[in-house]
Amino acid sequence: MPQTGEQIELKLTEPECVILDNGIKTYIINEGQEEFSRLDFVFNAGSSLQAKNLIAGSTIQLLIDGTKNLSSEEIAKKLDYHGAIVDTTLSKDNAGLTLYSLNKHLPELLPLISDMIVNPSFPKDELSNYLQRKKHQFLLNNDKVRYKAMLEFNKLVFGSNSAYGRVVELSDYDNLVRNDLLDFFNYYYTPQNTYIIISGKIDKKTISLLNKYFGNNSKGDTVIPDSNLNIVNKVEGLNKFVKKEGTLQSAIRIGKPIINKQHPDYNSLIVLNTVLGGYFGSRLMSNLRENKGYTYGISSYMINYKHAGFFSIATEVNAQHSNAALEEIKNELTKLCNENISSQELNLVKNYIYGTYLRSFDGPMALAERYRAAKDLNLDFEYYTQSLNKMMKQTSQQLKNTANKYFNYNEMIKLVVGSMESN
Amino acid sequence: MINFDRFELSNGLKVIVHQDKSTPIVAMNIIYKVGSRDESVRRTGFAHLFEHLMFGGSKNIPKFDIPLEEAGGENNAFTNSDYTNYYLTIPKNNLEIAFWLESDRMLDLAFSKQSLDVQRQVVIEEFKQNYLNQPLGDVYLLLKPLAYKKHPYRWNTIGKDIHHIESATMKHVRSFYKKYYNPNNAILSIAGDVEISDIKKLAKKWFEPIPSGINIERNYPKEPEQMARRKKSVKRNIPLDALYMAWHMPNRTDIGFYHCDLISDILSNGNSSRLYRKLVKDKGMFSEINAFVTGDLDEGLFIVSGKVLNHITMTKAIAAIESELDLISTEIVDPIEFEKVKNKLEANMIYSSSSVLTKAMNLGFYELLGDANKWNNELEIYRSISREEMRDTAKRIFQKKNQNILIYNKQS
Repeated sequence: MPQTGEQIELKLTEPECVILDNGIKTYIINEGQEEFSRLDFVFNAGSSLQAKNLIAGSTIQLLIDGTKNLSSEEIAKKLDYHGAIVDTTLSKDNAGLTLYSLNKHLPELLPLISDMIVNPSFPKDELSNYLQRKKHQFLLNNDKVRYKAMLEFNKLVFGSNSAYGRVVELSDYDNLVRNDLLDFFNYYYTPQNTYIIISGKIDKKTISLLNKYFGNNSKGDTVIPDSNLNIVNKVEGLNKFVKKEGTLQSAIRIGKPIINKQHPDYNSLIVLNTVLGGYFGSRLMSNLRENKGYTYGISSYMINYKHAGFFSIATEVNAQHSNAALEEIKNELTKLCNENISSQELNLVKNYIYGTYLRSFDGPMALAERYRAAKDLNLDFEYYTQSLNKMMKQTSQQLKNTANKYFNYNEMIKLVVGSMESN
Repeated sequence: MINFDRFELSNGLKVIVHQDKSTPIVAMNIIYKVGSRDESVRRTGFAHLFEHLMFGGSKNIPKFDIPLEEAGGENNAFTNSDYTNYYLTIPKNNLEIAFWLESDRMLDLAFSKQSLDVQRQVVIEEFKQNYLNQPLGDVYLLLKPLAYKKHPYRWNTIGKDIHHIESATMKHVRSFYKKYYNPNNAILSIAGDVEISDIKKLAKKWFEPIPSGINIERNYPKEPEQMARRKKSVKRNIPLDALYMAWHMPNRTDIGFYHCDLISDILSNGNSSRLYRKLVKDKGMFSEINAFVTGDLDEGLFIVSGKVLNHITMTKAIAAIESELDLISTEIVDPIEFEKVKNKLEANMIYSSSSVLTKAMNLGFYELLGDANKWNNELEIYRSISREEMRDTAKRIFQKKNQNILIYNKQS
């Protein structure tokens, strides 16, 4: 077996920040080899801020469906003609519009994007067409145990009446009107509530184009977050079973609310979570897939939002093994609390994490992705390099302590969607 | 333009190397020329089952993933009708670990009954999760045997029957490996911050001692020309009726493939595409609609799929699609619309050359097509196509007798 080499140091340069004339902060990641760029426009306008379900998602989505100057079709034609890709994203905290474009087309495309995010018209028929399509997607997804479990778990872990906990229901698709979007847009889509990340091969000209098209709109005030906003409630019960007839597999979610990334224990938790279910060779995969064949896949992960987060184990198992799978998950969590991780396994997991970091910061697009994730939580690149160093120093004893603090099976939510019969 | 070097070892392994100094990550891709089209009709799903077994330990390495993860690497694989593709990425200073790992499982697998038993079960769960336990999961299990009667594309990669997987024995598995997993039946491609001379040394050291296998003769039964329209309907518990239409089309290297690819882009790539614009947005007949080519090496399928809104009858839905296909078969497209799809192809090609992994995979795939340099010529081929040629191919493909229709009716 060949020797492994020394770890290459992860070096990250904090992006340069340029402030546009109207105050929009623009972060520049100039690392590209090819003549194209990615632009992320991020608005502090996530789903937790909406008064009714679907407002935040419909608002960001309908930016591409008509402005005061252009119809949805005209926008689509322009974007497609220039080979541009526009994606929209929505999280509980933020909404984003991302443009991928060849640099040579930016002078044509930036004014178009500016029109989309400054002058959207939210046409009524576009909204009803969009809601109709979304409603059918929802109906189709809702038949999947995986999707049902995801919604159900979100309610359990954050509390179904809280801003983070509430989830979409079928009737929501019939209760949205154009004014909901307009109000939401006018309140949240202001320069003070926006930032931009530009990544790729970038020159000075592009930055001045950005200022020209995005730096002069100055309407709106700084949004003061509502301190009375009920972001999360208490966990709603630890055991839940949602029966679904005629299903071959059951979806299982085991988890709990978890500390945020700034917490001193967080780095230890990442290592621990990786051992448990964070990579292909993890203990859960080895046990439930490779040894027992209960499932095609099982994983565990942590999700962080601005104000709260959770830890979850997720899998779909052969329905007749639902109980056996729960038992094995319990065993794996208990083992982490009771036994030291061997130095060989710990070493493997550290190297794996290191490789993952190296990969996930590779290239301008990946850097933009990671930087945005950091910004969403008020962190920067330095956080990642420090975090990686701390992870590399974790000892088995520290990890056992962390497990005992956070991975007690009895404190976890246990959700099964499907069937529990053992036939 | 992607530059690369290419050489062949004495045992027949083809090696392609692309240098990209901008990243500390190296990508390694291996294609084995074996897919579900190589399976016997009595033992389908084997190529894919085998992909799972390749992670169950080789001659000198009990578990493939462990040393790779220890070296900060990551890997995965996929199987399709034509080939099986293994890929990994690893920090550049651990590249030799990747050579060691991949060459060992090309040399010999450590077959164990336990590994086979478990992977069989995992594949059966994969079958259930992706094909049986979700609405419309079985589309290709139904559509392929409808469209193909002779060619092995008539079964899906996962297999036509779960029992074929259940009854796989050690003997079957061993002979499959011996026949297909050989250096002369593989393509190795590498992209990253590497020197060609180092790769030559490493390839010689790790891969050249592996003996070559037999030369495989490929004589797939040719699918006879379809002479009459075929139709199949099923009832399922779904919120909307769904429709899948498929036409036989030219193979991957035929110029007709490129025509079809452009046709599918005109019809459904992007929000300004015809089917989306007219049938989803303007007329509100479908909740979603797509047109695409399967991209198989042998004669593949041109597929249009859609989910039909409740107030539209299936007959009307089919007629609406057919009227769009008539249009593209009879009228020459607008030059701006034609330029648009070509521009989109160009942009996508540049976007996809930004990662070492997609570069390694593409170089391997085009070498499988006959020459890695074909990747560099792709855009030129698309650019050279005329609007008239595209129309003529559309006319030829979208004939009624060449059509297969699969309808999912919702249970009332």
